[in-house]
Amino acid sequence: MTAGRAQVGTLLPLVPVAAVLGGAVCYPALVLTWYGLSRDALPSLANLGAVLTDPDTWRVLANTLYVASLTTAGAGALGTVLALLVARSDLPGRTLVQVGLILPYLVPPFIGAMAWLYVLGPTGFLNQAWMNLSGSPDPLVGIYGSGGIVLAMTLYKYPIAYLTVLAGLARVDPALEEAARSAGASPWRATRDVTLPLLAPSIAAGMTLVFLSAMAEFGTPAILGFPAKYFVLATKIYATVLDFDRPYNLHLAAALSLLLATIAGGVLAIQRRWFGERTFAVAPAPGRAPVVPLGRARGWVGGGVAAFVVLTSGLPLAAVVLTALTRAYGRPLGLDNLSLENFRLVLFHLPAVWRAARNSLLLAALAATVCVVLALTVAYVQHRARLAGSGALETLVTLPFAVPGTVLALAVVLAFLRPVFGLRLYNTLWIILVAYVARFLALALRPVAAALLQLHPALEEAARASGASLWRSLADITVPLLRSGLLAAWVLAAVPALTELTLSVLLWSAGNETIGVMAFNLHEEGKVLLAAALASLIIALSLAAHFVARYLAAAEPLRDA
Amino acid sequence: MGQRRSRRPGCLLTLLLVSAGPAFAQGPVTLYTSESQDKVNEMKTDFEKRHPGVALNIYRSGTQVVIGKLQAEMQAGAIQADLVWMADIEFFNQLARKNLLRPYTPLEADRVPAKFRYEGGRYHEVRLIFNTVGFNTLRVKERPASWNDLADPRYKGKVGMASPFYSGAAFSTLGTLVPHPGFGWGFFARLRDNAVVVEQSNGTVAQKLATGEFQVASVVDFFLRDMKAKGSPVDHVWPREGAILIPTPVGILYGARNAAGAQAFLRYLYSPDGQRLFVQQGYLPVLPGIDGPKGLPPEKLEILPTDEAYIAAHREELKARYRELFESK
Repeated sequence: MTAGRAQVGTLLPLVPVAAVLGGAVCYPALVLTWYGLSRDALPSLANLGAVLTDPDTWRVLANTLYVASLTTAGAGALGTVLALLVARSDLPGRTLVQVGLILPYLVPPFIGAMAWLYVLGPTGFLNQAWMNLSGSPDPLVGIYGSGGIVLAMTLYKYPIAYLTVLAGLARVDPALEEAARSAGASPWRATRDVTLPLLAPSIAAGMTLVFLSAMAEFGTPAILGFPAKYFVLATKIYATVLDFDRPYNLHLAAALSLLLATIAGGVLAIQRRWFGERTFAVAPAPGRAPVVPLGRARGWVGGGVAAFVVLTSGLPLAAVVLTALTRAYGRPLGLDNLSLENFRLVLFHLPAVWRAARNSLLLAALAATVCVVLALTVAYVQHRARLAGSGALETLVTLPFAVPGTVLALAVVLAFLRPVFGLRLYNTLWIILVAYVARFLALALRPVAAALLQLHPALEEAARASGASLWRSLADITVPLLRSGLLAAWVLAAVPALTELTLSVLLWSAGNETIGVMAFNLHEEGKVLLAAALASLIIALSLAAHFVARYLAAAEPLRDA
Repeated sequence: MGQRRSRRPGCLLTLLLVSAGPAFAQGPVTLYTSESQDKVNEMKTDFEKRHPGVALNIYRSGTQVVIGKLQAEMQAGAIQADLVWMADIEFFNQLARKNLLRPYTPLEADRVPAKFRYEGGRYHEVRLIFNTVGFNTLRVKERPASWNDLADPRYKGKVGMASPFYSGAAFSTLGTLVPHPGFGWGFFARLRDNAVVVEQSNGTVAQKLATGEFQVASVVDFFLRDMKAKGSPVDHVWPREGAILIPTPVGILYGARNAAGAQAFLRYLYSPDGQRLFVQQGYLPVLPGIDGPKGLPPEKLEILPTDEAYIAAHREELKARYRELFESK
């Protein structure tokens, strides 16, 4: 117990954490579990029985694991390689590349799926061109089904792995790599034997996040799976929730989500067992990391990365904008078929759009702030104070992120339909905030915990030993040293919250809509052109928010200096 | 719900406002609907212009989602909606049976055929939409003429329709064609054999018809009239067996916090102004004497009879057999 046990007085900050986690996670989880394990207000295993004996469940489960595993492998490999290239090599045009690699992360997954549909769909730009050139009545490629889902999810989820590994790299002490290099190790050898092992917790954390996110993903399998009748658990649960003519449909959906939660819990347990307890003597050092020259391959690698960015980020974004500029859907692209009409309609004929934008900004800022404060407390309790049962705390934080958002939303709806302690949340904006905090806390916790793990407790111990209170040592030592990790956590939570869909689509009410809901409703209605116009605006908003956050982050150290 | 609220003094105020009549309609009115987002927003703008002081709040989503939300609110005993407007007449039957709908017949509705004012004015048909056969004008040379053309092997894999699990219109179509002697489940089996593609919403079906992903489709008419007017290569035919009327009723809830405002909106929908805006948007009017869209005289169109009682009695069976036919098993 290097950090020393917490005193009873220091448990006080845990009270709000317990209140938030209890209200936003435990209580809805209990309601959901009760739904899964009851019928007609009596305990019953009938739902689990019905779900487990349905062969369809097993097919859907296999689909889910297949899609999530391939996505995780692809996104993990892409993210790690790209992070190493950006942080440790003399890749040409690194600043631009860094911006390009972040782009897919800033595009909400369902908009990404729509974008790839515009590119590779049966009548997307590629197939349209092929059919016009060859005269063939049949499209060249198909995007519906598992292949398209894996493609779209990999290309929109690798930034999760990339960002996590990049954050990990920033914490790896360059002195260790320098020592290896000056002892005669080749750049490749130093990367393999020093950098990668030090990065293992970050890579594992990134891949776990990708896997959980892929398994819980709703938008992409909905848009690219439904037409091929290809279901994963998240979309199956959604279909079951909406199928209210089926007896006990909510109970069956709850039972399905218990199944999914169990898998997610298993994945987390494995990751924690293998990587969670390792700590490394690495610290944020002022020195620059050694740059590995790519040598003669520099041009090729640079060209390859640039082509990758253009094809996977630029092309689908261009497709969204071009679709938004189309005058008549189904007519070939040409100057006479371009117009700003769709933007005019979205901005001036749908009054809800402006209100939705304001709601989303407010929700994202509030949710991210609450998440970062909670994440710091949870990480501290877990890794420094090491209170008994802090492992359960992490499970509690991660479960709402692992279950499909639809199910979390359902749990929150059922939990807060009636006022709780006189507090009325249902049909207000605040029920969305509750769900966002529950959902995105895990995203904020990872970078905070990873940064804290890599920060040796010696400094804090020194402060405490010199008589500083826990608060004092937190405020003067821990938080300043973790600043970049905290900011990263804030951005990680705020960006997806800004364009969130899956939760808000079930939680919004008249006047309390989000921008993601507006776009999805338009797409779902089949208003492709209006949906594309709004999607373009959302992407612009998301990019703007990100670069403002980056600017603030970059300005911070200057102010201190 | 209603009882719960009636204990509050606020309800007295509402009652006073209601009894004081239309002149006092003001404040926010909340509408839950599955109507087209852009169309219903045009209605909102026009209505608010004519009724200053009334603000229409809209919760717009797919029929199933709206019903799910209403059911959740009913469970909690706090319905937020003043008005409900969507493509699931059976749900309105249920609401009426539970005595949740407030009867109201605006003066303007006197001229509307009685069959469009359901259960003594508890809910109302305010304009007519139909499910018809649509086609892509660039890829289909010979205009289809019958529902059976959807099963033509020429279009194999290029036939679209909406899912009855998400779309009220698709469910009405299923419930009308299945008991019909000329169609039945055999018709849907032939559609399945023709590799029909099932989408969630009619709007999506219409868009995919425009891109040519679908060549023919079972789809709601006004989407296609709307897109055709904007220049998309789509059109629809009135099938020779008749089109299917898709009931999309409007009703005022007993729990309405702003009943006066809700009634004002219903009156507006029935007014010649409202009816003309409907026609402009591509719908058929319900008020006699208002001209329909070009080439579609409302009284001369063939309509396939829909047996609502049959649909109500066989709701679960229809969905179960449909699932068996079309879903991954």
